[in-house]
Amino acid sequence: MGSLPAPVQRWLTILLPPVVLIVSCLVMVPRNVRLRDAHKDIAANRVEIKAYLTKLAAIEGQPSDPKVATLPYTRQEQSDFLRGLNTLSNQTGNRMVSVASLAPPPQPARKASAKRDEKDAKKKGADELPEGVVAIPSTVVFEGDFRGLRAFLGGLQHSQRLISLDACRIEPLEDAAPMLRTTLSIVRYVDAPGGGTEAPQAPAAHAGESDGAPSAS
Amino acid sequence: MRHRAIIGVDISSDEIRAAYVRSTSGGPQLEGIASIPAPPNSIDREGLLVPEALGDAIRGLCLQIAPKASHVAIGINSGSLVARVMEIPPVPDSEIRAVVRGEMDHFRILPAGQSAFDFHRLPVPPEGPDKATEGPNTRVLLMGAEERVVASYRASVDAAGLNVVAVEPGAIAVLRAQRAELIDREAIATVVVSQSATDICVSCNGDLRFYRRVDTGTAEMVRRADGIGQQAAEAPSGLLVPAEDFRDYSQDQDAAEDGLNRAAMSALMTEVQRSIDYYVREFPTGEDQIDIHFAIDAPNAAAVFEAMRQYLRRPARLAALPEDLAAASASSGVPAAGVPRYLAAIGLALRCCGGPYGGAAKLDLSVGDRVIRERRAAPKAMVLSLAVSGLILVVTVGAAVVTGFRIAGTQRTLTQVKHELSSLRGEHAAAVAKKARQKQLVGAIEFRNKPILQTVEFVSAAVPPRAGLVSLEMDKDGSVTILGHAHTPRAVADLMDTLNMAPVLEPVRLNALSRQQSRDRGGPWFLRFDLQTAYVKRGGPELEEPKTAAATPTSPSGGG
Repeated sequence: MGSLPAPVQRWLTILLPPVVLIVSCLVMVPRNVRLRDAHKDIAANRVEIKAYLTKLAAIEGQPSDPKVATLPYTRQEQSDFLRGLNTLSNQTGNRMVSVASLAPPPQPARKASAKRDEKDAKKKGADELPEGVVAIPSTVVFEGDFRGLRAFLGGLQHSQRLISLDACRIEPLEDAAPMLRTTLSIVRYVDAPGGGTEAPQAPAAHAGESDGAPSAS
Repeated sequence: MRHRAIIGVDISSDEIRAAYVRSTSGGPQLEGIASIPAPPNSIDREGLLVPEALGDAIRGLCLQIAPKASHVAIGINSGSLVARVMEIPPVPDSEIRAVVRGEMDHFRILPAGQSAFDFHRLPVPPEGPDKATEGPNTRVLLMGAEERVVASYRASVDAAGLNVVAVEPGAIAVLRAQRAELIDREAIATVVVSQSATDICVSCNGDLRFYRRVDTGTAEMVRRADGIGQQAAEAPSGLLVPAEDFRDYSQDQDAAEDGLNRAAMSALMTEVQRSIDYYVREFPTGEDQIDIHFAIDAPNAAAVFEAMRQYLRRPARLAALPEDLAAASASSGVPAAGVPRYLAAIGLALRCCGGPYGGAAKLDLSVGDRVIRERRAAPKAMVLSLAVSGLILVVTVGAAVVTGFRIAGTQRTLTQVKHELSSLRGEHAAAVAKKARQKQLVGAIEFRNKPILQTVEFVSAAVPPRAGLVSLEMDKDGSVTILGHAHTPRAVADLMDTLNMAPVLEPVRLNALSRQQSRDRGGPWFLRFDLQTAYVKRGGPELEEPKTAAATPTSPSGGG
């Protein structure tokens, strides 16, 4: 450096430390900013995690619904449902005549566009079932007196499994007054196997065949 | 900036002298003096110092007397040094410099913008009866030189690797060196005869009152000793006199045979005498109280002084160190012989000392307002700058590495926390979706469900005693068909009124009412009615549950 001109030496001596300091700042400031931002992000994420944990705890703390809306659609489910109907019929003094269509109906072809599905769901309104749930309507015919009819309907209404009664026809049994023949359309709901697109077809079952009750003609 | 130890350096054409003074509690201590012959070609023909030639000599001289000292005050005795006593309007001290600058430019004393100067305020002469009308102007002593001359002095010290404290005229330094002796005297004239000029200073109680510069120096008076008539009429190299100002006395018939130009001496002494006479007039003082001290920059100063004293009417002697400083120097082992030659160097070294020397006139030509300080950065400053820069770089690199590791660790933690958050978000979304799906499912099921039990109970309870139901049918589309028998139309009407009370049923419509006879021939006649109604359509699963029960008659009478 001794060979440098005097002004260069002087300015070099004066300017070198500030320049190095500026370079140091240029190196360190972005790193510190990055570090600070990372710490901020960590703190923010931890706050969010805490909030989510609180929400999950609140959700898990909610009492479970005693009603069962759906059950997985299995062969056992059909037989259990039929067994339940038969038991209720026997307990209420009725006689099962026939049970039809315990298996779900064939599913319509799945639409190509998911967006169209959403639009359709919006149009269909409040009675639209969630995706993956299949409604299985069954027609139950049983005979009994009026008290048995009421008890049977009350038993269905207060059963643990949620079902919907779709239609009902009550008429007198000929030459057997005060016996009544009731034709009841019951809809139960199951989780569609395979994401709700397919359901195994099962033959109609009669109540009497499952538990030895007298079969309907 | 005050320095406790300064080396004074006085450069003449043939010799470089240095003196080292250290401030102690007992006063200034002259620690050492030394001199070396000036290197050849150390002064160019224009009177500028050559730093490359003088740097090593100055450094060696300073190392000889004070190895640890690094600050130097250098004396300037160049022939191009300009000195004027000026009268300026009375202005505040802070504005004197600007006024002096304006006066310099106005009178073209030095090239405008290329000069270095400083000033010293002189006392105003007491007003006499004939000066009553004059305004109280300020008298200043202006001393200056071309900035390139001053820059050459600074550059010489810079080349020695030392720091320049000041560039001061040698005469002012001589006055400072003698201040301890002058301070007790009412008036003493100090004549500083340098090689290029003579400075005549009269001080009162140590304060400078009068100054005059005469352009006659030892170069004119003593040069004859080198041989009259054998020297060419040109300026010898190394002379601190501009070549154009050099006067040749080789052909002077009055030159003495002892090598001294007595004519020049006589003229100079005449000027000295006139100056003192002028001072006595301006500052009334008893003439017998003015002594003259001579400081002569010449190897044979004593002979020159003796020759010059013959032309004076007043007592005169060679200047010497004050007694206290001489005693201190003797205790420090400084040889007393030849000390008068070092007066300028000692005065320069006393520049930052306190005590009696603190009030002496102090000039610094390097503080000129437009001086271009052509100096090299001192090695220590450069080393310090490099060291600081290197330290900053090392610290920066270390901090960058540490910060990099911390950033990497923090990024890993951040990634982990984000992953955890993403997982929790998904879990929460799944839980919420499950709840929403459950709610939608339950709502849909309840919406699809028809209150069949309540309808059966309500309708059966609504049948009046004289009527009966044959069949009750609730279709999937919500319509309710009631078939029955009644004895009178009134019973049918009562049944319709009761059914119409149900808020969940639409108004009952009578489809048919016909009289029929029982199947047994001759049996009783009865009315067969066909009523039809429907469930009121609901808006959605959020609506209230059917209030059929609220409208149900108290007891379900099995009318059917």
